[in-house]
Amino acid sequence: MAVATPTKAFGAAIKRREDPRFITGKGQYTDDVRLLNMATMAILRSPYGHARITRIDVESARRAPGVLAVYTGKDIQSVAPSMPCAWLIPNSDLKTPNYPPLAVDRVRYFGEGVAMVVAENGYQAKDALDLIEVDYEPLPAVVDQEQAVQEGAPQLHDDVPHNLAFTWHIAGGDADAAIRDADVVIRQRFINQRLLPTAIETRGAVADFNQATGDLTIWLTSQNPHIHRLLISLVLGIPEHKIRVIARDVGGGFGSKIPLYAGEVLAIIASRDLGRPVRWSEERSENYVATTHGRDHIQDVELAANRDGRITGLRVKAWASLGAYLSTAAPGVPTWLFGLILSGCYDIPNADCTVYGVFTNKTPTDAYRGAGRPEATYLIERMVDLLAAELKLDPAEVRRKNFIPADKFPYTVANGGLTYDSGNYQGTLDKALELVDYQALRREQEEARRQGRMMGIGFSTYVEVCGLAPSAAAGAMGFQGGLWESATVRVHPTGKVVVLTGTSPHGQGEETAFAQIVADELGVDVNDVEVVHGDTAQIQYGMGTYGSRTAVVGGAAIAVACQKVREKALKIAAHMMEVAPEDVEWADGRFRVKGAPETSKTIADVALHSYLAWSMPQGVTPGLEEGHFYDPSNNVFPFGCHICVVEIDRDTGDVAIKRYVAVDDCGPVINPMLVDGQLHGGIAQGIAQALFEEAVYDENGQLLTGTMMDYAVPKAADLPKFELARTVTPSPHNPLGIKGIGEAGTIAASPAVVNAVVDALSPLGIKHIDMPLKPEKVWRAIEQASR
Amino acid sequence: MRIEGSYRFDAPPERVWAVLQDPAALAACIPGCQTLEPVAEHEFAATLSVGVAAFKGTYNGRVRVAELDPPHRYDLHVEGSGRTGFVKGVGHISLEPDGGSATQVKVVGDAQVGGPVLSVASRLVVPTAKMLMNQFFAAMQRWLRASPM
Repeated sequence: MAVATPTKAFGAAIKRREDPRFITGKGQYTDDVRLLNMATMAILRSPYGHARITRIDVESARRAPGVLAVYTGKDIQSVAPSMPCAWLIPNSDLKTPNYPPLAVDRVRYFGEGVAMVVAENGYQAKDALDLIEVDYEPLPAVVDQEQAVQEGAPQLHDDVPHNLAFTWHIAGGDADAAIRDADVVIRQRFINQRLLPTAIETRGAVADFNQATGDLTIWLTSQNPHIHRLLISLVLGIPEHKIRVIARDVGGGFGSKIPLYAGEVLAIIASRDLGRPVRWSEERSENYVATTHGRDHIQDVELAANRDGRITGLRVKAWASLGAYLSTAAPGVPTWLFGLILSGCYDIPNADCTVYGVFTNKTPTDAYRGAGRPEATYLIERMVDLLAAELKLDPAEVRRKNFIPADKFPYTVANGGLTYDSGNYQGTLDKALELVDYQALRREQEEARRQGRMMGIGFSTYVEVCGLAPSAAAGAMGFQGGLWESATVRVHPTGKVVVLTGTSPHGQGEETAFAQIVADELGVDVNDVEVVHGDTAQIQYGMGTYGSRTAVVGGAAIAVACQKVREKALKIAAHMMEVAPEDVEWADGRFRVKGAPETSKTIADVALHSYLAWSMPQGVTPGLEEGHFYDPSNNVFPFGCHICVVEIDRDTGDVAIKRYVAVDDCGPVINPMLVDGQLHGGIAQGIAQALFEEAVYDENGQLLTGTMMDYAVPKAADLPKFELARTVTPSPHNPLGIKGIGEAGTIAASPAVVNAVVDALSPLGIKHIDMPLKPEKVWRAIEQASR
Repeated sequence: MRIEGSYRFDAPPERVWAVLQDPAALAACIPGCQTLEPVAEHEFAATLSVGVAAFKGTYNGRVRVAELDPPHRYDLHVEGSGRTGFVKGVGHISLEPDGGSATQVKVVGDAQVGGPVLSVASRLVVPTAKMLMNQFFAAMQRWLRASPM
């Protein structure tokens, strides 16, 4: 039974409609797909970080029980010579070396595919992998991106001298002069460590190629099914209209499910050759080497300021490790997504940024929650704290002094690359200070220090750029795609609504949020709206879900499509009520005759009428369905202030988070429960980078943190209670005023935690420790400083 | 990876030496040894089947004995690989008389271990190698006791 239409669904804390199927095991993930006659594929992976393949013998594997086919790099070479790179950054001398789906004569990272077996079942496929004989001649490896560009370093690609994939530069004002003339210059090196995205669902594919029709259906764990369809078409030459990509339920991605992967291409090749469905599914340890990694920067930063704490310039030199090959979006992450927003929420007139993109003998990197923006935010937020410490000023005060004032929006950053749409940075800081009771907290800290306890307070006042747009900007950045989004709103004769979105939610809850938008726009019950995503056969086109764009761009597309439906429906309603359209108004979720509110029609009334079409107004076609391609005029810029309070155990170096207060501003909130959920998860991932997670390689390119025993994903007990609050500053250009919130927590949290830890250690003279702040590292710093 | 061990045999160095160089004894005492075929003088091709957790699998490799100084010391070069990883290393083995009728065998080894096994069980590599080495020498001690003088 449908309950009465709520007066407003937008803003209501409605429970996620996705959850019942997830928590009862009824989700439809890729690995849940079981097709008749389905074979299973397994990939043999390199045990070396860098080696020449001198011999591969697959004969005994071919003869093993159940084996249908065995492929090596040489077999694949002519079919699919290279994986694609789809972010070709201009003016950077970008090199795009060949990236074979299976290594041909050389492996360049630990876990790179060397051969694959297709068998009747997974056990037989894995057993047959054991029978493949590969002779390797190990080569010297290079895992550090700064060493990789040095003369004499091992070379990964013959056509990429010094392993330098690109040099990218952006600047505004005169940072050199600002640094030369400054009262104070702060210099610091930061290591932003490599992370493993660790989506709960590992990657996989079920490819079903029909040899009779030439149709390919592929179930993928994807954040962007249409982009996958396009890339598959380009790599394998299968016409786009013959490909259907389905990503029904996806168990998290965090950016790692944007790229097209070799495993997906190989499954298609095998299915096409065998004429049978082929399934491929990663194990967790395989996921840790074969799915893209995130971050991995070395940054040298210089910040110039006046004696009073006013920042005058920023100069950054960063070495980004791209791994052994260019993943789909890899070049854009450490450049455009990092370099444009380096000044954060501060009015810094002179800024200069150089990024070296470097090949190393490690798994390729790509987007990971925040993608470039956490690397930028961490850097500037740490520098502001270092400046405050140097000048012996309160870090809140230094921030206040340098904020872009609320009346200066729209604000264009010094490098000219971004125009912040709206903001009130002082507002979120003030609210957070009040919530945490800052003055009392500082007194408490003084008292703690008197007792010999190490307590610290850390700030992160961030702004981030998301809902990436417009498409013209994407083109200027070399991104080989548009950044608009599509929506189709279909009202059925009974007034039930189906919404088709080109975004591809994978755990964020937009099936619920989008229904809330539609409910208000069309005056229908939220339960009468079905949201369809993740199927290229049903959805005309779409760019997918990443960069906190789904609600912002996809939601706006849906809102505008609904408004188009209403425009048409109004004409029909007027016709039904025998009045002129000018005399009809949309109020309280119905079409009403102005001045005679008792005469009204609902969308359901109009829908039935429009499908019967016995009597339509002049020039109005039957049916009630509208689509919209929404291309935003600008990005959106959510912001906020996070404050972290820590206490450190002097004897063990263990960091305990005592309080975590976050005041975020993402404009009007569609569903507060969803926003809180995104913040909880996001902050958890930011804390994880600050305290726990690190992908460690040895000097030979061996990943040493290949399991969840060694790679420390935080558990609930490691995390504090999150004290969340909001301010609301709408985006002036978004039809719903909304800003993205999917990545904000991650972007904000790492610097807040590290700033708190360094604040706690500051009486010992400690100025910086690189992440992750594991107890051993903190303990060693304490020991060294106490000597 | 560095690995060390010391084992006492109730026999003089000459006898211990003979057993340590005896292919039949080696084949019987190397844990999981399936084949041990001579391919040259002082060189063998071996197939091992290891049944220890993360290291489970079949390994193919070569063992070469060098720097022979009977009955005092020799070097054992080992190179092998299997699905879970690879190993390449050298062990320096020395025999010292312990009283009149016993021998102390000392092993000092240095090996490079890699492959998937290192990602999933890096903390277990050294203890496992040590365990397998202990098993080997324990079997050798039994072999020596059981074999006629």
